[in-house]
Amino acid sequence: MGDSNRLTLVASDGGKFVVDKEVVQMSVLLKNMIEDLGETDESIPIPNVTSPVLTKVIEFCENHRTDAARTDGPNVDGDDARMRTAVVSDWDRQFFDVDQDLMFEIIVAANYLDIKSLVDVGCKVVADMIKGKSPQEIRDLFDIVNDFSPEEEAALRKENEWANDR
Amino acid sequence: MASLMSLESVRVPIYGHGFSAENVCSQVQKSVDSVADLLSALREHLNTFNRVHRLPPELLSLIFEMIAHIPNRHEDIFNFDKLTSEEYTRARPPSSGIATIAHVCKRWRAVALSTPSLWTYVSALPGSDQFRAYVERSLSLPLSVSVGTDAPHLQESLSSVGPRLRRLDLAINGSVEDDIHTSVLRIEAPSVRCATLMCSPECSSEVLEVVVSLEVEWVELFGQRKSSLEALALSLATNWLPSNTFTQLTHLVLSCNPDILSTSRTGLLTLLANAPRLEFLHILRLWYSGTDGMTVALDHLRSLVFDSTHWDSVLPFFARLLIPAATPVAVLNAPPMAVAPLSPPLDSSSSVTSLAIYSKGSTLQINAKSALRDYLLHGESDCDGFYKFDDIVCSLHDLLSLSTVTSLTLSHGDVDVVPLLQHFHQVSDLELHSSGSPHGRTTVQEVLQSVESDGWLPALSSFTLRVHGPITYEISILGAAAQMLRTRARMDPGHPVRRVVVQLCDRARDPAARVAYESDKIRANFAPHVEEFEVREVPRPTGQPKRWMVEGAEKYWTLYDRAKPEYLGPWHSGDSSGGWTDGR
Repeated sequence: MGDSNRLTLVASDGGKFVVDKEVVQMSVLLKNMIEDLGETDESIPIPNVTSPVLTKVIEFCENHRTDAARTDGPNVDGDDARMRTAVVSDWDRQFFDVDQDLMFEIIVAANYLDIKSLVDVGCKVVADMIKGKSPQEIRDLFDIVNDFSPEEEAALRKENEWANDR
Repeated sequence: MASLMSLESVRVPIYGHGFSAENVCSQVQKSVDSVADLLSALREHLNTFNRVHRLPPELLSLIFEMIAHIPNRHEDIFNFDKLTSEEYTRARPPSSGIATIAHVCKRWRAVALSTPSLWTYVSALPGSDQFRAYVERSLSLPLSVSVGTDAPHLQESLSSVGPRLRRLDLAINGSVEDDIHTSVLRIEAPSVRCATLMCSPECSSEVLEVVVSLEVEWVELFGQRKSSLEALALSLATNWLPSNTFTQLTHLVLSCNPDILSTSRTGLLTLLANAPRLEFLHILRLWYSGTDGMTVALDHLRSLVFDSTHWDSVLPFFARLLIPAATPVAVLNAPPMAVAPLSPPLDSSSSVTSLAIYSKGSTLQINAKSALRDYLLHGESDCDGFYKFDDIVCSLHDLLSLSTVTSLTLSHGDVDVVPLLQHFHQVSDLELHSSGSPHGRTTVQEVLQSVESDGWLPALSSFTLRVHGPITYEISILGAAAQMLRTRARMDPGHPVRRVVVQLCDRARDPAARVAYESDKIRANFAPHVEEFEVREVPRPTGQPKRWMVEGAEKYWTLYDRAKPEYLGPWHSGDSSGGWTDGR
């Protein structure tokens, strides 16, 4: 009989991770699964998440396990509460100081596992990377190709004139 | 392979049947366009493999919302009289990030265009392509619009979005005789929550000449008898006032024009009576006289601020208000009255027991506290002599009842406070700060000499003296203090000071032996005349000073710094606020 406060997650590549239930429950998806399963020694497969990504996700949850109350707190002003609660700490910034492939995989995994705080922080990190940059600088940053057709480019140029209309 | 086949399909038959140069050019152009479209499609396909495109649309949308975060406050509503209407409407700029995001690639543009929340703040000429695009792209979401009344198609455009209007920042321009102002304000907007309706300076200056004699025109804002507004900022350069019942209004800013007497004299009280849920009231340039008129109960008021209003108007107007006992009152850049007041002082319902006068550079701040309420007087001196510190201090007994003050703190710098001392009959605790400047030392000496020889502060029993430099610099003050203590101890009948504390500020870098020597020296001069004596070192405070601000006051607009002044509190170890509350 294993420790009832811990359970095993299995990544898509077979990697196994023994984690505190309290930590795992930051994921709404896993929390619901645990509630459905009841007391069990069975491992939980995470088919869409590889070991390196799951390692990072668990690291984040371990670090933010005591933040749950904060993120569930009352809305300040309602409409933009989510933007405000996505406070990126120094630890978070360091956490996301990884290559872009891994960064986006973490965000996608967090979205799949329904870990709101990780999604918010990840999106805020990406938003901060984009802020203040021109379209071309953003393309360069993420290796995006300008795929607008000539007609679309013409429409965009017209939109650029809006700023001078007033 | 599909691409190659597509390229085959755009090959141009140059020498075929019906050849003409025009035809060929047309064909070539079509081919060029086809190739361009094909390239665009290929690039779009290439982008699908990009790592950022692993993010599903809902996450990309969330990122865009974070970038193009739409401000829900106006940053500059209190400076409207210095701004042109264009500057005013631009003071809530949308993030330029919106346009940037939508211009990166097709997918990002598609996600941006299908994220209606990105387009809900419209600061564009009504009727323009941009205005229409934002209105369309925001679908049915509530809109926030920032425009000037000089914009063409204004009424038509605003009416078309009226049902969706959540916030309107309107810069009112043009002649007061135009009915555009009031007709725009009557558009039907059943869901509007916040409106800032500000007259531009050019409008105000024109009004000065023509409106004095006009009666109040009552305007039912946004076609609602019972208004949905939660926040309203009005500059009353014209003679109209809203007639609605504001059952949900919590934030109100009123900037009055002293030349439009009709609105100021009676209209404002009627307006306030129609806003019984008001929590934050900020009045600028009020002109009000008389001791009669209706009384208005504002049972929910949490903060009251008078700005740039003569005491002659503050007192009679305040006397017409019934506000909760603990609601703080701030009087900013308000000159004293020329004649004796007919109205009771501000603290007539709960007399002031604690008073602190601070002067630093060009700033004067007076904090007063009764058992229930905090009062703040704050002002900056100006080169026109409009706001003279000596006049303010000498007239303070017109504004507050000083005879009940038991605790007095003077950190008055160069300001002459001696004439004020005669009003303090019950001061038992006096705290006196040397500013360190030569003239400041003189004013402190004058206070000490007055307390010694004129018999002021008869109830004084506890005295704290704060000095900043080595005692060789402060010797004149220390000597005057020792003399005052000696004289009062020997008076018949005696008025001895029972307890004295001398605070040595910011001496951490001085050698301990020197500080100890100076402490002994002071003790030798002071201790014989008092029951309790103490010399204490006071370290330099750390952290940001607190501001006068009631939480929630900036929900709809950002207050300018003068409206939330920093406390010029004394140096208290571990308490940079000086023991004064911040009005929360």
